[in-house]
Amino acid sequence: MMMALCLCCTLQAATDPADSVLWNNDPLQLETVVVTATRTPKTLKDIPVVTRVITAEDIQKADATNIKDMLQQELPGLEFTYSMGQQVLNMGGYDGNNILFLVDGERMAGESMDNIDFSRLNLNSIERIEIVKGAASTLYGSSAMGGVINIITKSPSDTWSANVNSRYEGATKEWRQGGSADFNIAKLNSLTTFQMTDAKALDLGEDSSLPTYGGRSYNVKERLVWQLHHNLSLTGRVGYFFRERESGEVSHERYRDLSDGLKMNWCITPQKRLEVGYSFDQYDKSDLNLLTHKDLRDYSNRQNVARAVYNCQLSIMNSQLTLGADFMNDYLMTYQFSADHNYQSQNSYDAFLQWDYAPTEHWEIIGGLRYDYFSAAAKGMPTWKLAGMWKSGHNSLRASYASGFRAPSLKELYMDFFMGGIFMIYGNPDLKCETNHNLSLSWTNFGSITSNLKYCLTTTGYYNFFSNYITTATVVRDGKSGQMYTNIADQQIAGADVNAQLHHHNGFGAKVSYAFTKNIVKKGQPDLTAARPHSLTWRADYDHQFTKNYGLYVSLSGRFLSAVNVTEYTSTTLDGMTKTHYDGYAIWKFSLSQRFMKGFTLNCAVDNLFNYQPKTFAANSPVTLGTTLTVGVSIDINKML
Amino acid sequence: MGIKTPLRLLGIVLMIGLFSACDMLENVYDDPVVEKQEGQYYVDATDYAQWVYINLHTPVPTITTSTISLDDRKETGVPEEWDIAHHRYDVKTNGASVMMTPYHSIEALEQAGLPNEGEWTADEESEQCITVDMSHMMEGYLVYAPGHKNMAIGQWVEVDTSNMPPNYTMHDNVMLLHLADGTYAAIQLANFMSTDSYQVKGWMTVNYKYPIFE
Repeated sequence: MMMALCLCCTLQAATDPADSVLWNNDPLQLETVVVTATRTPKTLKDIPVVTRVITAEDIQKADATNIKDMLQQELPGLEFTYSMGQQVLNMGGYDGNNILFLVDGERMAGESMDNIDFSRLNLNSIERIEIVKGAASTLYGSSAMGGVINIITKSPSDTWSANVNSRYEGATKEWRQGGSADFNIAKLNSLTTFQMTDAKALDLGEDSSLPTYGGRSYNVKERLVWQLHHNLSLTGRVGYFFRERESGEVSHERYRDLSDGLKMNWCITPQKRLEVGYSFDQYDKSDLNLLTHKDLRDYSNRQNVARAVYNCQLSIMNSQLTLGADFMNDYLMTYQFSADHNYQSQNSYDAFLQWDYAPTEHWEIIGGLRYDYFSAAAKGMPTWKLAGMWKSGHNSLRASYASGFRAPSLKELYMDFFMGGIFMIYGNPDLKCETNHNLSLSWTNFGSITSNLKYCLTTTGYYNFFSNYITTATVVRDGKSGQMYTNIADQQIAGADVNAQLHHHNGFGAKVSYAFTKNIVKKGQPDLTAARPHSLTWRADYDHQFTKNYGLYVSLSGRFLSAVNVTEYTSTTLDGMTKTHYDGYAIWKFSLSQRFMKGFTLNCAVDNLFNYQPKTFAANSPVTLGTTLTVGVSIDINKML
Repeated sequence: MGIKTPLRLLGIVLMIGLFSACDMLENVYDDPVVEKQEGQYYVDATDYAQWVYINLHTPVPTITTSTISLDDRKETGVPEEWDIAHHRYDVKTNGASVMMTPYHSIEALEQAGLPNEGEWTADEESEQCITVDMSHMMEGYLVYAPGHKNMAIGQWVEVDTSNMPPNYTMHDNVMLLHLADGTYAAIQLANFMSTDSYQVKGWMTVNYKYPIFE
């Protein structure tokens, strides 16, 4: 019995795109299994919390090198910009430190300008990316305020697979090389992935106030899955990342990451599942001084996490219970702490509970409760959520309330840094958590316009109450002005998303997504976010397998961001402000992907098709010099043989 | 399958946690130890409210630090005898004139001999010669002190503040000084950042030779 409910999804072609087998099955991806919103596997059509998925097919067709390219093309209401030469994110009015990025459900250590290092998230061997907007702290804890983005690695293949790929991008002259290999020996599966990049700086001209840098990186990961019994497996993983940024003639910055983990998955009975895991992530920053040729480390963030999650399907009341607990030790050594005590650490503990109840085939209700405790502030933070879904025929309605929070980081608590030889920045051990309360309402309608044309439409509205936003404000100590991390201003963030999608039997598809974001601040307070009020992404594409040995995918896509006025403080005595205006812009892209002989794919893309160039380059400007060409090749070795 | 195997695995997983305090990358980095070299001095010129005076006439350069008051911008603690003084990346001389040579080592300059052509630059006097207080930058003003400094030597560190973070360029040309007493000295900047992991800007490592071309 198919519950034909449709959620926001993108066009997917499985092994034989656009043929009638797919059309009869699932052209709009309703059966994709997702896990992030409820920490339990559910199909996209059945999940009571709005989830957006970017599939492996989408990633392959976009031929994107990293998460930034992929997210910007697929999701409106999301913008990556630069701050002090580092990539920062704004999604739906929330800064990057309020969006939780997970890799297979696990957090990442390290930050620059309060954002994780996005270049660590390469797209080799990714099964899908799940995006859940809104507060999700009852399942994931700190930072899950504006949303959770979970990057999920491919499951072990049944036999074996191997891929090599290479791509060249014209504007930054970036070369990307990558590969993966997945094979089985007895009860053991091994997956190895590798990627390296090398790019030059974009020359934005003398009038630009935006620094751009060239650099290189490489990233290697290994995962071993040992299936001891049909219901018991052990997974081990290890990965290493290195990036060097050519930030001048005097020194280069280097970023390294080492992460590993071990987890056990046990299906005690088909209704009871237990996962216990341990993971470690170390992210370091160092400077290579080109005068002395010494590579000196000045930052190291190490996180040790132990966790357990237990899932149980209850025979009474057709419900599912999830129980979980985590422990984390967070250690930070940084040049931004005082020289005689340059490291700090804290322990955090949490326990959570979720109850998922489907009283009838039309209704489902989810309730969750969680308590987090942080040793640095010796304070606890409870969060809770309530979500409900009603579905009937071609319609479904989802409503939810969830609370979210972000605990102040070790940096914000203990900083003691003489910035640029100019002024001191102080941490504040009395900082309160940032908190938000998120309300959302969503309606989905799907169906067939004609016998050959299927559609899906989803509209979501949300409202957030955001308190205790943490930023720096002026203090006077020892007669000198400095800055200190402080909780300031409450604000509200309202928004709406609309997604519409069409798929025709002959292989044509179209998709449009719109996002609206508005920050509501008290009279007299400045709007400190730089979120663009209106944004759109769109794509029209055609996918057809002409013969066994030749297939074609072509798409015309684009994104639009509306103009925005960004308010910035001119001084941190909070009494002077300026407004910087950023023009609205649209950037179009044309992609052509050709599949030869089952395993060989040639990708070409022309980005910024109509040669949009911003008048000046500043922090929130799109970093583009005009039209660029990208060419890439991907070979699936197992498909060719 | 009973409970034994999963419990064993659980034990393995939790044991791994015992390795948790490791610093997995500690052997990757260098140590910030710098070998002391002949004919080189290393001074802390980071403080805006001071000058660091160097006397090259003594067998080992004598280093004296003065203090500039932020109230009346007057300087105290100036030594009787000095040849050059450092303030961040700026340098003033005691009545000398300076030529920036095209040589990148003092040995190369010695071999080439005393140049008979080239421009000699004396110190320039100004009311807002050096910044002495940066702490009010976020409020929109800086505090300056009058004085003199040498613009030829000042070329050895270029700071481009059109972007944040600023872009630094260093020039290691040997600077030839014609001192007030008629003798010559040579100085060359080897590094303008501290040699520890903080790499604080304003620690000056300078190669020197006095006297040169006797």
